[in-house]
Amino acid sequence: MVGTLILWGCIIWMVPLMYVLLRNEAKWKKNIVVGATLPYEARQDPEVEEVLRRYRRQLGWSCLAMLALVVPCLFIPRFSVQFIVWSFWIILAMILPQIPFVLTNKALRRIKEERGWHKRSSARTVSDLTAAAIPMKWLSPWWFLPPLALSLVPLALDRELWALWLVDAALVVLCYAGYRWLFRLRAEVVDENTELTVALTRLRRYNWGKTWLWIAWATGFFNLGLCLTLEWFWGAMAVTLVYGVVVVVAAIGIEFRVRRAQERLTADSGKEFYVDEDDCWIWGMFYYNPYDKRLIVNNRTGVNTTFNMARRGAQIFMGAMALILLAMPLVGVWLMHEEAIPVELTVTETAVVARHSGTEYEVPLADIESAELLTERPESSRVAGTAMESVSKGRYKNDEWGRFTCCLDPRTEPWLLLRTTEGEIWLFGDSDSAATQAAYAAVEAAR
Amino acid sequence: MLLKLDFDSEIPIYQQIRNQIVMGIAAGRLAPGERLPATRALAEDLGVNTMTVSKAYQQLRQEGYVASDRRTGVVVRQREGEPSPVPKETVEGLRLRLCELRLAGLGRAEILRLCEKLCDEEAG
Repeated sequence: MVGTLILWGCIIWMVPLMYVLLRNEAKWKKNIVVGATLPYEARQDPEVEEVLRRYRRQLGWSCLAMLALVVPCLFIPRFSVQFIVWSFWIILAMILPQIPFVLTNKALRRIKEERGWHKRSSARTVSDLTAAAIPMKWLSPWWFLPPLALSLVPLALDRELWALWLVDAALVVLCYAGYRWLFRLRAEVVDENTELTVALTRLRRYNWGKTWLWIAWATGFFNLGLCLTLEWFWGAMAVTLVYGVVVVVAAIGIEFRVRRAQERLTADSGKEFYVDEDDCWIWGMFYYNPYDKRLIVNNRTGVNTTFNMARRGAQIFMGAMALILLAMPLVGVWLMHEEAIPVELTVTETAVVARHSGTEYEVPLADIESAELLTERPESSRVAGTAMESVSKGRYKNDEWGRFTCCLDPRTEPWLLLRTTEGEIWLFGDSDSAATQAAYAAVEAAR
Repeated sequence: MLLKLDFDSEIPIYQQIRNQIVMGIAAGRLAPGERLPATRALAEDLGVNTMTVSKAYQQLRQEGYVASDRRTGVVVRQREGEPSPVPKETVEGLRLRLCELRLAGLGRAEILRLCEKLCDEEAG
């Protein structure tokens, strides 16, 4: 049940988060509401107001439905089936709350057409020369060096897992790369007011850097925290949880601060000339502009960026992402297969062999110092490997033995504990009790 | 000043950039000494190739509307002293437009009125 709760706990927060973000789209920012650009007069239009009310209602219900769906899922008995349901739930949670957005965007565009507010603009682009002339003051890479140094500290504390610490440190470097290259240097033109454009542009640029710097620092501390708590499962889990919360809260906090500022700054915009790029945004959410040579474009509101779907690179990337998402349930199918295969323990002329699926462990008989049959397994935690109802394999650890290797069926006692002359500890157990006992007898006979 | 590009237009993009900057200078929306975006920055902003902007700036430089140096970048040039001679291409272009207006059925007085109206609009 703990595994199930962790599994769902990792993703369930996605729904309230999407609700808050999507609900915020119903507020006017840069003359845009739910992905549709409308003039100032539309803000008091009763039909527009009604469409927005309906949007908020539909959004609330769809998010509530997704949350309610989790309750019966918690009681699914097998982990592999649970995982398949979990994967489908993620896909559904990403699509369902977006449906009210798309429907509302279409309704607003229809109203726009009917009222004569629509400006054909797919082939047009607008640039404010004064705002475009403001150079971007990129944060120096030095700002990212302290978190990088922090993330490298574990290398000095635990050399055994150096690869893990290097990967984590690489994340800090990726933060700088993301800051530097995932941003489109484009002025935020809303109307002819250059001062407003400059203010909006500076707002986005400043907060873009702030977001990545926050994530870089959080990653540095996470690396260090993980290193200090790695021996203690719940400690490591808590550090991971805190890291996730800090990153999400910081990113969302900055996103909302920018959105609020955009809302405030453009409260009076849209009375005369205003920029309308709706024709470049499919359903108000996917940017598709074949005239735009850039791959990365800034989101219309907030601080984030997105892809220009008219570019081949964006199509390949988004296609790959969709494929990965759709392939997730296949992992569950693989888990079902893993669960169904029994653990086998055999003794050959020279070694004790434990097998499960594609994994095989071999302990030479000549190296075995002692063999013992256990009817109770000491409480252990996984370092790296698999922990399922029908199989535990890989590296584990406990207070009594320290780190050891195991390959056993946790449901079937007894288990065979082997200690080698080199001080290694192995814990094996066949899915059939008789086979484990026979293996023990064979080891004893051979010694 | 806002630069508006129409990608469906038959006028090349670099020409549209050049034309609008010229119109901006004439109307006073771009003051002498005002700095224009760097080539790469404007290309990034408009989502066009750097070469396109570079070509527009090069033409503006050749025509004397802007000047550039390494320190200040591209700036609108101060128009000093006597009016500079009108380039031959401009006179020919004007002649062509006059012919088009005549063929459209406008008389001399109407053409002059239209020119005056446009001059007034450009003067702000």
